[in-house]
Amino acid sequence: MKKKGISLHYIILSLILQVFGISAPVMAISDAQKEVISTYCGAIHDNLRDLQRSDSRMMMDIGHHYEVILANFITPLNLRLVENNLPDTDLINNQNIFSQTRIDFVASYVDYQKSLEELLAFDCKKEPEEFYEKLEGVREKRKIVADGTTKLGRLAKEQVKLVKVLEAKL
Amino acid sequence: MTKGGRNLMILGLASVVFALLTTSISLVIYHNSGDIYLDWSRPGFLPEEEISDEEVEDEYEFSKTGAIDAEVIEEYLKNLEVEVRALDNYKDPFSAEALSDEKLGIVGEM
Repeated sequence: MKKKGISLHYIILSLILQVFGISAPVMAISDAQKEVISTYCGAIHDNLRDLQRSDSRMMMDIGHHYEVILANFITPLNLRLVENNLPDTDLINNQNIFSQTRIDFVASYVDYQKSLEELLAFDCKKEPEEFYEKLEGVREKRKIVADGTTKLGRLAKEQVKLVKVLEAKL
Repeated sequence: MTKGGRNLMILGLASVVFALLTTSISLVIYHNSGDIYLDWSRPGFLPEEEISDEEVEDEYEFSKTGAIDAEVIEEYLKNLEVEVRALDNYKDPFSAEALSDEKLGIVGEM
């Protein structure tokens, strides 16, 4: 009951601070967690390094698909439509949004990787609380990267939908 | 040591210092620009198994020139849907779960 009360106060405080554009404070970690972080600092670092590697692979694979969709599908179709005097405003808009979202996605990934590297350079054995605070920051940045993949996936599906509309008009 | 020999030594040392300086600047730019995180040739960041040339399929590329008709669009859609399906195969990329307390082994009562 007490735990629920603390959580509710935390959520309300976070919402108030967000309204005024202030970052929410990091929820304090328990002594048990601090102990775990200090004791298993090496293992936590190893897990983070594994994650960094798997993220790099993910970025290489998924990033290639985004590049192919933009360079091999979206852009050439618009160029060909213009050449045939059939420019489509919705398809051009989708190209602009896809292109910008992809740029933002890459930038958010670089930002996330930088903060992850800073976290890896941090001594969690000596300062477990600060380490956890930094970890929360990395989690927020990872969420922005994940949101980028959701947006790009939606835009790729939007392209299919718009081309089907174009096909119906031909 | 002759004057010529001394000058040659100074030139050699200056060259080494210059090379170290420019290399350091390059590495700082490489790191700060974020290119380091997008460079797949970086040691330790390559996939475990390298893809052989035989495995790489020719990628479809829609031509920028030519007429537009229903048949062309049909082929375009067929290939685009393959790419969209490939994206769908990534289940929850960059999920929050991978950085959770449980995954990292940070467990304990809050």
